[in-house]
Amino acid sequence: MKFKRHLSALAIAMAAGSSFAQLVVGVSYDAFQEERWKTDEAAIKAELAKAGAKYIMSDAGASTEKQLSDIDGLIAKGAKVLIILGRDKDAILPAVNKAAQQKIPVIAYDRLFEAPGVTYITFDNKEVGRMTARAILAVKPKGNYAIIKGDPGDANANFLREGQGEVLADAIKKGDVKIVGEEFTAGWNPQNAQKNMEQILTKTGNKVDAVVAQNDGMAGGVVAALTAKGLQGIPVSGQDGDLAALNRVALGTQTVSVWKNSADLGTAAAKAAVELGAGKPVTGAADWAGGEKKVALKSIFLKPIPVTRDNLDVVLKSGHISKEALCKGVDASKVAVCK
Amino acid sequence: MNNNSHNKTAFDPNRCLVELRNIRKAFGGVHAVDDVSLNLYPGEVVAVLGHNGAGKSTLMKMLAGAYPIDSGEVLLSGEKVQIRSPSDAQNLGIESIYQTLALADNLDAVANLFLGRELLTRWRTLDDHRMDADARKVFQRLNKNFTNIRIPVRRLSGGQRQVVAISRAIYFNARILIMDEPTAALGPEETAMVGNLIQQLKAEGVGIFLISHDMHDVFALSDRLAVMKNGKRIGTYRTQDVTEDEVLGMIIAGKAPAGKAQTERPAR
Amino acid sequence: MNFDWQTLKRAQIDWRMVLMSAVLIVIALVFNILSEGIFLSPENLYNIAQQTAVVGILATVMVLIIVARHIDLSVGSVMGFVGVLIAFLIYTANWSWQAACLMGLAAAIAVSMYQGALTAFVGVPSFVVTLGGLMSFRGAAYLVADGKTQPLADPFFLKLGGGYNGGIGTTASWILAVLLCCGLLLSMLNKRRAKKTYGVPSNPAWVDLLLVLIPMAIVLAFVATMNAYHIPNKDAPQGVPIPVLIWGVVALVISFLVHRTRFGRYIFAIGGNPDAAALVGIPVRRVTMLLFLLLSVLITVAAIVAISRLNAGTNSLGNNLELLVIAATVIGGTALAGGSGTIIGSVLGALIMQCIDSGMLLLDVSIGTRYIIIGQVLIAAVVFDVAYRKWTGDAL
Repeated sequence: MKFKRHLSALAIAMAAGSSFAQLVVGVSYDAFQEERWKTDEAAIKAELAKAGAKYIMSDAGASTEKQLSDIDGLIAKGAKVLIILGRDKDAILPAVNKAAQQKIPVIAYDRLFEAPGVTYITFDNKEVGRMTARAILAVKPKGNYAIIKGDPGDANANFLREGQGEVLADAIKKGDVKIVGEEFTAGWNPQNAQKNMEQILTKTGNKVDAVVAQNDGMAGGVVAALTAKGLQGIPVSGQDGDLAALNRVALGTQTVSVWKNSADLGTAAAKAAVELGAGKPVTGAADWAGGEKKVALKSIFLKPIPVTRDNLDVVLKSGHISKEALCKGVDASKVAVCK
Repeated sequence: MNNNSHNKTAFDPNRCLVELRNIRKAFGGVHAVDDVSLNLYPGEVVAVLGHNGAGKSTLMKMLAGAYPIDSGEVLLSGEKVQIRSPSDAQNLGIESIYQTLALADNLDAVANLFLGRELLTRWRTLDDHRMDADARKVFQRLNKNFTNIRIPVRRLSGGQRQVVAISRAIYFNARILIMDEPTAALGPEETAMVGNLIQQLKAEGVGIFLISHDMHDVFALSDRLAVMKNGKRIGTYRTQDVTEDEVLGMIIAGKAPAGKAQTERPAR
Repeated sequence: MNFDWQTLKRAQIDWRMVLMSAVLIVIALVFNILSEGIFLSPENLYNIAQQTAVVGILATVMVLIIVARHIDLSVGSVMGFVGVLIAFLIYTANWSWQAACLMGLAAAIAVSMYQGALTAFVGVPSFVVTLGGLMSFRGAAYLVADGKTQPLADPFFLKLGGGYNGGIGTTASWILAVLLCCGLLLSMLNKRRAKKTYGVPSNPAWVDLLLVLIPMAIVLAFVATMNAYHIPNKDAPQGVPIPVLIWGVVALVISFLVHRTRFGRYIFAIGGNPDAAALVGIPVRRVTMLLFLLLSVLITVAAIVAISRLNAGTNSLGNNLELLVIAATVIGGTALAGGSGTIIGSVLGALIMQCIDSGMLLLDVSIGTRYIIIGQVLIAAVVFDVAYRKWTGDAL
């Protein structure tokens, strides 16, 4: 009689224990090169802490192979849900499949990779592309455009280009806009972007009226190349909301930085991870099959914010950048938020 | 640096040039040189023999400053000296001609002659022209046909490379010369040249240590010989007092020949 | 006049340099035709000169490192680290650019002393030490500014990177050209006079004259081109860009070290035969440390030029630069086995690589194809180098 009571007490304790077992969420980053990933990490950690889950991470140091072994490592350390910032959309698949076999849900974070059952959470990258092109078109509806693209191996570079293409299509057909130069930039590296811009300028006899650059790091290189020829001030776009880029927007050398509040992305991914970890479906996710392979994925697309000189207060209010950093060297009389 | 401080024309044949006393050196647990003493007088050639690993090269390298001495003393003309580096040895008038010749193959003959002791202009830059001219004179003395002094030495013949190595000793007025297998890579003509050179240097009062495997050279060129085995000195004899077989016996079996007097002084 | 092949062969002309210059000219002409005259335009040549300067500066000292039988895989990362540090001190910590640069130099020296000591005194192969440095200092570059880009705005400092205000102007450029030509002529006359004094046979007059006139022509042509580059909204042409001036000074100084000082001679001796160098009394460890010290100074110079050109210190500064620097050095004729290499070779090597890359960009060659071609050019250069050595009997 006593024995049976002990056994049931043990069973109850074990059941309680397993339902209180802390959810371990593993996050695999590909490289910390761009400034923004630290913001993502802070948001993910905060949201997971709120839900009582444990955060473990790995950094693949820009190596595709290392990311595969990183993910193995995260699984070995007990990760029950994986958030993956994939370096290469095809090379990452073996790791994703391994996770699927072990019934570990996978979230494709910011960058797309396609496998059945993956949840894709990102800012609408095509929309980012559209926003960059829209902002430039608004300021310079007619003229010669140069397009500085990111790394050729990154699917985002193509999504951005598609979005940019959509917005510019009419103007190109009408002959208002002519694309005089278009280059990929190895590694999204600003120095390479500077070199590419210099060559485009030379090739076209400096007849460039606007530059659609796909991110802020490269926009910096583009602006340096333009400054070297006294052409700074022509419209230049970027994305990421890098502090140096926002400063350039305030100074007037960059037209727009499409800001994806990565804190929002991190929070959304962490929320989704917690839900998946509890076996529940992700709230707010819709079906989407717009990738290359047309695999149907549950997706959440967050809306980015194009930051121009007119709405700089948005980045100030959210605490993303300090007034001092935003307004360094800015003539306060020309920019309202810097007064 | 030209050591004119050693006056070679007047030398005292009775004053010991080099005295090595109780020299020891160990590498790890192995005694490469174990309590070896050896003398050298001006104007004589002392051959040092032994087979590979006997310690003869190590002993000579210590005198040349390439290895530090673990214990023991070195006296030059009666005075104790410390030889801690090749530069120390060179400053004391000790020159070496290594078996490998110690030449930098990518540099030319002039650069190799002066390697480590370049002549400088008053602005402390390399005085290429003075070195070129001086080198030419020295090389001519040894081999009238050697004119290709501006090409990398890897393109010179064995004999020409030997000339460059020997020229170091001549130019820097060696008082004590260590020659390690000097004729190993040479043909008969060049071997004769080396022989003549040795006679000349002896007449000038230079003392020469000769490391050699070649019995013919040892018996033809040396006044005394010392045999080492396993780091120890087996014996030192006047060359004319021993036979080739007895010497081989010392090298291989370490057995000193019966009834032969050892000597620390030159044959006179 | 007697055209004598023997005279030419004996006249100590490095035919490899002549051939490389010819290759460079051919490349330029081919790209010029394909790009319908844009390649040889003053603007494009100004671009190329600026784009090559950072690699060129580091390649001059990499020659010495490789000659001494070492290698430095960490130059890109260390340069990135030093560059971000300097930019960070100026932008975030509000130091003056002079103080920031000195601090950057101090950091570079510390790194070099650390890597140099491991190589020279502890005997760890430089490949391993600098491989570790390659990874560690890329991380350090990230940590310095927490990954954030550090923009630069000081107008004087930005001049050092070339660009809009970074040319020295026409007058200064011509003065420079004249000084250089006079220097070349004087040096040739000096050599002939000294050879006579010491009774050393001299080259025939026409050979020496040619050896002086050709470099003079190149200098004058280069300066004339730089003076022809006129940015439309400025009132005077650019003249020689400052990074190129810096690169030129660096090349001259290192060349001087190689040919006229014991330090340079000992580097070559150590590379040719490290055992012999030790036996003749060369202080091998001290020379090696000095070499790493020289490297640190040049890394700082290169970092300053790089960040002023980009107008910012980014954490990815100098990524993969070590590959370009080593490639430039090897294309320029420096043997990886050690003991052989020239400074002018590194200049030509860097220019050849950059011309090919820039030319292909002008022609819109895709990024993948560009990288394939550059890799094969490197191999072709080394194959040629090996063949040349066999021909002269210098086979290593």
